[in-house]
Amino acid sequence: MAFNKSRIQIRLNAAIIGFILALCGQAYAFTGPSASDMPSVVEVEGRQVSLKNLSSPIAESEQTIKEGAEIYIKNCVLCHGDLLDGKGLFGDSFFPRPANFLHPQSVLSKPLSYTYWRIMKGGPGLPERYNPWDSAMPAWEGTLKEEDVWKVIQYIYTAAQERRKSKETPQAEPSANRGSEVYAKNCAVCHGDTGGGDGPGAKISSPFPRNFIKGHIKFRTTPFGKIPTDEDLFNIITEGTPGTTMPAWKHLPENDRRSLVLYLKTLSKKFAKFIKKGKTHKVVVVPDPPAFTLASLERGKELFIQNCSACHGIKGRSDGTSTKKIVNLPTDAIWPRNLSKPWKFRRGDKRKEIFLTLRTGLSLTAMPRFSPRIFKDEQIWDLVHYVQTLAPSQKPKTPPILKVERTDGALPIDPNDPLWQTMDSNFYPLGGQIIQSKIVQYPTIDNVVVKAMHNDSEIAFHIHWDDPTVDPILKKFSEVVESPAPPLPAHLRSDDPEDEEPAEEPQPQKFPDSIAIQFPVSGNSSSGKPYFLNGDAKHPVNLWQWSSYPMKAVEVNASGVDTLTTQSETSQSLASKATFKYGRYSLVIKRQLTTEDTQNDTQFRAGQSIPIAFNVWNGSAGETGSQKSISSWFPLILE
Amino acid sequence: MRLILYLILICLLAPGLAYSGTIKGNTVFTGKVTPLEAYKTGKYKKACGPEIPNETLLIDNKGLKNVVLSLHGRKLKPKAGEYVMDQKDCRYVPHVIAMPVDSELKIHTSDPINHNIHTYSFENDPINIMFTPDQEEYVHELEEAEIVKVECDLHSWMTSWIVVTPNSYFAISGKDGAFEIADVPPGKYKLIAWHETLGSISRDVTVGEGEIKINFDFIEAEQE
Repeated sequence: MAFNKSRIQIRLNAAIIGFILALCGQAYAFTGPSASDMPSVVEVEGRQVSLKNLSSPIAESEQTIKEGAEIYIKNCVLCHGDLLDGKGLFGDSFFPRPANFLHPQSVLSKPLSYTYWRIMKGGPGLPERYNPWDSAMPAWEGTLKEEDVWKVIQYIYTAAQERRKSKETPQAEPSANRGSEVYAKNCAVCHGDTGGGDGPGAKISSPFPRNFIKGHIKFRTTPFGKIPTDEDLFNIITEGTPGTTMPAWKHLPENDRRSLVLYLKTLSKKFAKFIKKGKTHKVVVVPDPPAFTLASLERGKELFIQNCSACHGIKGRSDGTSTKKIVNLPTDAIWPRNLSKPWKFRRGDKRKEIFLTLRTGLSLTAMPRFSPRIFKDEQIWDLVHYVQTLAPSQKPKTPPILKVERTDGALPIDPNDPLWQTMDSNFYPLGGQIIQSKIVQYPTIDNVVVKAMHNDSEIAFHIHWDDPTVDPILKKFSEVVESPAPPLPAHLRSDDPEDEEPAEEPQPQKFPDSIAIQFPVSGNSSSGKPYFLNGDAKHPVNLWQWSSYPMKAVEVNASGVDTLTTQSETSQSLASKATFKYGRYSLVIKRQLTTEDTQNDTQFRAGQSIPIAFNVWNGSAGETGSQKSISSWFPLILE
Repeated sequence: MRLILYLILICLLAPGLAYSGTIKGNTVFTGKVTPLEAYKTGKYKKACGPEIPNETLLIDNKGLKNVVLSLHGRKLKPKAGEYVMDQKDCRYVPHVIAMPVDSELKIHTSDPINHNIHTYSFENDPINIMFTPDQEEYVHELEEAEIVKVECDLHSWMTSWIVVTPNSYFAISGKDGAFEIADVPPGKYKLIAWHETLGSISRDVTVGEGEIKINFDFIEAEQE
C-alpha cells in the first residue's frame, strides 16, 4: 500500500515538474530559426558542407557521449547550463537568452544538421530576420574540431531526450552503490571521478567544484569546519548554489538524491570517524524571526560596522580594509558577498537563511561564524535586519526602453548633483566576454545602473557600477571615499597624527578600470544593427570610453572586439567626471547631440530609438582588451 | 595459569620501562640573515602596544628558535593533552605550538579589540571564529597530524602555527636552539625538524639506552 502511495506521489511530482518546465519554456521561448530557415550549403573552415544530407561521421557510443559531455562542460555550460535548460551562469545576462534544449521546439524537434549549423556558424550565421547581431552564440568553426562538434551534438540530444522522459521507474531504497552510479553520471564531470573536485568542469568553475575528500562543505546547519548533516547534503543537491556552476538537481528522483548523500559520505573518512567516535551534530536552530523595529536596525548598524565592515565595507559592497587580505586573486578570487545584491547570495536572501550563514560561517571561505558565545539570537537578528537595508527589496528589472529624459538648463557633470537623484534608474546585466579572442569567464562586474538626460543640445549619461577596488591613481585626480577600518573603542583611539600610516603617492594600476558605452555609428539603420560585441566590418560602432588612467573619456570606433581605435585628438569632444565611494564608481559622461564627424560619431535626435550597450573592464582583476564584462543591445529613446 | 601469564608479561615489560633513550641537540642556522623589522602598529598603538616583533625567524647567535622536532615511528603513541593559545597584545602566544593528535586547544583572548582567528587546516576541522573582548575560551579538538597556519583576518601581521604531531615524542627548540625529546623507547625512527620560514630536514635516528645527540643546520633545509 505504502509502495503504491509513493508511486502515485512520484507520478504526481513528475507531472508537476513537467508542467513547471512547460511554463518556463513559455516564458523563455526560444525563438530561433526553424529547420526550413537552414541554408542547404554552408562554408565551414573553407569547405563547402551540404546540410541537406549531412550525418554524423562519428559512430555514437557511450564513450563519444561522455567525451561530448566534457566538451559541453568546458565550452557551453556557462550559458546553456549543466541541465541544458539555458539557465547557466550567464543565462540572465544575454538577450536573446541562451537556448533551452529541453524546450519542445528546441533541438530535439530538429535534424542533427540543424544543430551542426547553429554550432558552427553561431549567432553571426543567423539569417537576417533573426537578428544575428543580437546573439551571443559564438561561431565555433575553427575553435572546436569537427569531430568534437559531433560529439557534443550526440551528448545534447541524448541528455535532452533523457531529461524529457518521464521518471516512472520505481526507485529502490537509497544506497551508496546507487549513489555511486548517479554520481558517475551527473557529478563526476565537475567534482572528479574520486571526488577530488578536479573533473574537466573544474577549469571553468569559480568557486571550484567542492572537493569531497576533505569533508569540508560550505553550506551546513553545523558550525564552521564541522561535517554537514545528511539533510544539509540533501538540500544542497536539491537546491544547488545560485551564481555558481552547481545547478539544482530537483529533477532527480528523491531516492537517487538520498543515494548520492550516502555515497558522498564514503568519499571522506571524516564521516566514518564521526560515527566511530560517537559524536553528534550540533545543529544550529534558527528561531522564528522577531518583528522588524527601528531600534533593532540601529543596533544592527552598530554591530555591522564593528564586526562586518572590515571585509564587506561600510555599504556592504565588499570593499573593506581587510578584503584584499582574504581574497586570493590568483587562485579562487572568492570575494566577500556584495550585500547590495542579495539575488547573488549563495544560500538565499531570506531572513532565516542570512541568520544561518551568520551563525554557521561558510567553510573554505573567510566568513567566520558568530556563535552564541558572542552574540545572542536577538543580536544576530539585528544584523540580519541591517543587512537587508543595504539592498533593494527585489532585483531591479531591466526596463524595455532607456528613456533619455528631457530637461531645461545645463546638464550636470557632477555625479553627485541632486538633479540625477530625480531620474529613473535603469538596470542592465553584464556577462563575461566568452565569445571571441581572449575571454573572461568570471568577471567581478555583473551589472551597470544607468540614468540619462538631454536638453536638446547635449546628452548626458550617469552610470554606476560596483568594483571592490579603486584604481589608486584616482585619489590624485578625483573624489575617492574608501570604507574605513572598524572604529576602535574611544579609550583605545590614538590621536597622535604620527600614528597614521603615511599616505603613499598613489600609483596607477597595471591596467586601468574602464567603462564604455556603445552605439552604432549610423544609428538604427534599415540594414540591421552592428554585432553587439563591438560591431563588424559592415557596421562599425562608436564607443565612449572612460578610463581611470589617464583619467578621461575618449571617443573610440570599432568594427570587432579586437579593433578598438581611439579617434584623433581633434575629433574628441566628450566631457566626463567620475567619483568612487565605498566600492562603487559613479560616472557622468556627456556630448553634444550632434557632431561634425558624422562618419564616425553617433548622432542623436529627439524621438529616435538607438541601441545602447556596455563594456566594463576591472583592471585590478587583470581585465584588458577583449577581457571584459559585456552587455547585449538595449533600446534608448530621447524624449 | 593467568597469574603465570601476567608474570611473563611483567618480566617482558619491566626492562622496557626502565630502558629508554633521550634525543638532545641544537638547531642552528649558519646562513646569512638580515634582521627582521618589528611591525609598527600605528593607530592600534593603545590596543596592541607600539610594536609587534616579527617572530617568523628568530635567531640568537646562530641558535634557531621555534623549530618543531617530531619523531615518527609506528609504535610511538600519542597521549592527548590540553594546550592553550592566547591572543595578547595583538600576537598569538605562543607563536608556535605543538601537540599530539586528539589534543584540545583552548583559545583565549586577553585583548581589548576584536580578533578573527582563522586556521588554514585541511585534515582537521578548520577554525574561523570572531573573538570579542572578554570572551570565554573556545576549545577545539585537533584530530589529525597536520601543520596548521593560523591567521587573524583583521590584523595582517598576526600569524602563528599549530603543529599536530602523530605522537607525544616532540619538542620545540628554545631561544638558543636547544631541544630535548626524553623517554623515547628504543628503536629506529625518522626525526623531522620543521621551521615555518626555513622549511624542514629529516634524519633517520636509532635510539638505544642513554642519550644521543643530533644537530640540525637549517642551511640544508628544503623549502616547502
